[in-house]
Amino acid sequence: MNIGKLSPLATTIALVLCLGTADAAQEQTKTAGADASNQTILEQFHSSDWHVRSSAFYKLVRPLEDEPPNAAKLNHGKQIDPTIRNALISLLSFEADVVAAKERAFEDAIAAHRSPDVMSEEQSEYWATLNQAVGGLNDPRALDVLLKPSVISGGYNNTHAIAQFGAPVLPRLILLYRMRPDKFSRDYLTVVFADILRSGTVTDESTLKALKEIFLTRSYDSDRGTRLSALAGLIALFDSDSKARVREIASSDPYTFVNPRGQAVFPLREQAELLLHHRELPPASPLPTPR
Amino acid sequence: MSVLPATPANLLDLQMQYAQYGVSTQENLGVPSNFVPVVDTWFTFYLSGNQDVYGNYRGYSGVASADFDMQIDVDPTEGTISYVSPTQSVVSFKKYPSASAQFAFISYGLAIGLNNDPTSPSIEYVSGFNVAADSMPYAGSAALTTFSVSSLIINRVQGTCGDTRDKLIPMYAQYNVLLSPVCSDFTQTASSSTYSFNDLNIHNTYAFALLRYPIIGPQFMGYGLEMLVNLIGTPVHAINSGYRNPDHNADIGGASNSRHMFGDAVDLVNITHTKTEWAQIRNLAIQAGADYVEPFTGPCGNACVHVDWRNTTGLYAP
Repeated sequence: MNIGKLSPLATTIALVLCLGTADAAQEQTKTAGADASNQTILEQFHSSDWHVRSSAFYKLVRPLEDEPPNAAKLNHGKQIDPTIRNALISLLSFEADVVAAKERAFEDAIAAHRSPDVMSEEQSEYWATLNQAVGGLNDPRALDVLLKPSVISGGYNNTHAIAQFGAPVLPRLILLYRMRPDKFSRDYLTVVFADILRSGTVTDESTLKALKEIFLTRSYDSDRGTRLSALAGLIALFDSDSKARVREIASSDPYTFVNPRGQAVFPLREQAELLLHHRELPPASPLPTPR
Repeated sequence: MSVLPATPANLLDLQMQYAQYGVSTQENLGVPSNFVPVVDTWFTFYLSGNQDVYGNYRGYSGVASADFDMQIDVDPTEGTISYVSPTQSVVSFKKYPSASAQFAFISYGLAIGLNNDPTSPSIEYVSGFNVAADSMPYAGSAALTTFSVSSLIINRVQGTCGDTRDKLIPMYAQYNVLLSPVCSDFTQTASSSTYSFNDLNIHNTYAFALLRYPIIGPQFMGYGLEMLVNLIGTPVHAINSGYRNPDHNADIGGASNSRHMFGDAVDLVNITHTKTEWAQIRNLAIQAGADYVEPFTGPCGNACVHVDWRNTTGLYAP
């Protein structure tokens, strides 16, 4: 649940499209074209060597220097040539399959007491940046790829990218939620649902009803993380049933642990209470008398 | 009270549109304002325009945990309101000495009453939280108006620090890291409720680190490392790698722009080395808003879980 991560700008990607030329860094705001040099780069996306693929990728998309404390940089996704968009989406799809295959091989190796093959940090960073780049395209054609398990599980950056498609994709996602009963899908889709709902763009009554049912059900999930994302959805809905359930969580959610200072902590109760407070209460202390 | 006036000539205007704090710019009173942290624990913001300004030193006492109060409250006895001119007011706050979240109040703890017409009894409440979360206004507060801030001015002076930071800072250029920190970005003391500074600065031979708020901020933010470890529960998972200086990052084969050098990444130990535990941490990390969680086949393998908040708002801890 990201009660503090609501501003779309907060997750604007720190990437900029560059042309596939030597002076790319100086051409940061230009619209890319699928010219001949870019075509060569795109062909390298099909290399069997990830070094070649990542090198080609970084010729098209590169991170910018952070302005401390952290970056919220431009996303030129809408200016990207459709050929390059498609190539980036296909590249992510390919890499997602590579990650999934590596994971299977990893588990086989562990089971066989062999040393598993892992990514280098550079490869992981390439994977992260590629995820970010495709998520930032805000291109509906990327939805299928973003929903692949190895992608959607890659972080809030990816679930938020899906949520950015907004209300129009909800019927499809709800259907997917119902068709994929595995916990993995449910957990991540619940995060997406809550994120979309918080945008305030969902007005369709039947969709709202379906989401309410999902959040209420998930709010009783045995997994505390799932309950937390359901809580975010209920707070966004905030009708009488949702409110009642949030109050219930605030008073009796069972998850607790003793922190390193020996204090019993109830993180979900605290979050629910905090969110209720912000939804329901006027400021806690009176303002000074106006002069 | 020691309040320095804003002197833009000496300050770097980052023009961050407050996205850094999660502040929405969608609803704007049209009040050009600058938040200016001035001296140490003092923060001053200037609001310009034809409105009366009242400070409201509201924390959320009694609502959340003790940590919450410690982190965000400002000391009401130390706050002042004064007029610079009929159209500009200055409100200054001082944190409680125990507070460590330098800017948290901007997004979460501060409420400002704006009364556009001093003769009117209605006061529109604006709180940092609502500014950050404009989709969740106070119920029944029809007059609620959030405001936006047009720019941020932070004193980020380039220059020598007179200590080992003068060795750390050039490393960023030496290794072509996409970050140019200055002295005031580093901390020697920042910690979270769970992790000490040394935990977060593990393996760094220097006593300074860059640590951003997603790493040290309290659970009430609703995201970040503290939220994650609270969700994971016991046993508390040690940090395998936190802040890395560029030298150390290169020594261990870190990525050329590893987020560990930006102060918003940690590798949490996977205690059991099982995929079950790893997957649980990963799932909870997304609930805690981690922007990136490495796959199981990432560099950590089954030994740890890399999580970072690379796109998340939050300054460097002082």
